Amino acid sequence: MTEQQNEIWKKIQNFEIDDIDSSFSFTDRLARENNWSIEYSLRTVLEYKKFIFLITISDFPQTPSDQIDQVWHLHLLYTESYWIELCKNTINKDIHHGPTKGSEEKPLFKEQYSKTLEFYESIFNEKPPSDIWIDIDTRFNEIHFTRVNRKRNWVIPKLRFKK
Amino acid sequence: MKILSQITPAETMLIKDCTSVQLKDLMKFTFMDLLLKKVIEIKEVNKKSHPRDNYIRTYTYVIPGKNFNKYQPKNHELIYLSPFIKSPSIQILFKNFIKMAYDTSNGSWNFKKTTKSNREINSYFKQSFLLNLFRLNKLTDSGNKLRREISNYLNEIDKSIDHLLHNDKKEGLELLLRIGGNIFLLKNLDFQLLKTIDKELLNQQKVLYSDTYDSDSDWWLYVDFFEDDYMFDSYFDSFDDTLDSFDHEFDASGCSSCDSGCSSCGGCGGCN
Repeated sequence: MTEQQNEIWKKIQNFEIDDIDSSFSFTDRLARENNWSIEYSLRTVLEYKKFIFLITISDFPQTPSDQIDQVWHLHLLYTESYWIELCKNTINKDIHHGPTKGSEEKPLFKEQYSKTLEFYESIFNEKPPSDIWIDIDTRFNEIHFTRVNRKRNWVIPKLRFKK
Repeated sequence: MKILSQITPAETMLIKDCTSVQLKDLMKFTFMDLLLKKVIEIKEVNKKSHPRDNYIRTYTYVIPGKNFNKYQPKNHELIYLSPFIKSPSIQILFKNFIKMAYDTSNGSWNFKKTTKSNREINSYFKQSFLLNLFRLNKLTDSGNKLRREISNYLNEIDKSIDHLLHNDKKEGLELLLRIGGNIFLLKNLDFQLLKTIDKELLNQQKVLYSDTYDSDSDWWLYVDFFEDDYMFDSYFDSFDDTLDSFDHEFDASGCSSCDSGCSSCGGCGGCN
């Protein structure tokens, strides 16, 4: 990491996504909407910040893991925090979210994801945590998510046989 | 009493008040003990939420402490330490930190189960299928004996500690180092008095303890606290307030509002 990059990373690291005056914070919502533990949510927010940093310092596209993408989606809903506080006032760069245009783009995103993992390792000098930056096959296979009303439905995991 | 230098306040409380001890207290004393041992530290930062914010606010974070890397955590302490093990660079807002620990504890029964699984106290609890089924904690005969001994010992210290810290600091310090984090269980200990223990006396104790080094005890972590005049007792109240507020918070179901007054409990808000 160069000195200039380090400065940007510090700014992003210091950017506080949770409003300290709010009783139901961004992290609480993230945990609840994804059925994640608070610990996992907090760690995923840190990885999201790293992802934003990687986009900020690179001139090639980055692809997040699905977990980080969920943080990103939720942050985009907090429009003031995302566009004004993060993009405009912290990194001075507009970072747009580009959803896939269809299965024809799958190889492209796979390649980008792989490059992102490599870039992460080269910048932070450590491997991305594998429970948040999941392996490439799982990343692009387990994408069948649906919003479920848990007041009316039970969620029961499918039986899985070990290979 | 050697065992008090080897067990944490949560473990002591579980032995002392096996059936009646509250999750909140076990969590609180575990947190305070980790702060005391400098396994975790509190960092207060005055900053703007983003560089162009008009206001400076105080953010209270929990970060790994200076003894984090050399510390061997006990099972029940992992509710606080696991994020730092998995993501070493993380810093967590105090409120989120307590909420996270509460979430990870998995409720009173599970936290007690984890606490009593520590090898120093495990044999003092009865184990059986029925006890597990009905979620009961019962001490063995030796556990009951230990409970009485601990209660008597702590009562004795409680009676004499104030006098010792005023009149014989050396003896007082020795006594406190012998019970480690269990000093939180003393009713008559004035934490402000601990700050008056002078450095020379601490150095003497360090040398003395190093000669008779006991690998099962974390006494050296507590010396660190006395040496640095670390402020921690103010977090007692903050911890209680934060934990008490959770019951209300998890009821929140709506999206945020903004200054146009467009919030509703079930829908999102919008503003200019």
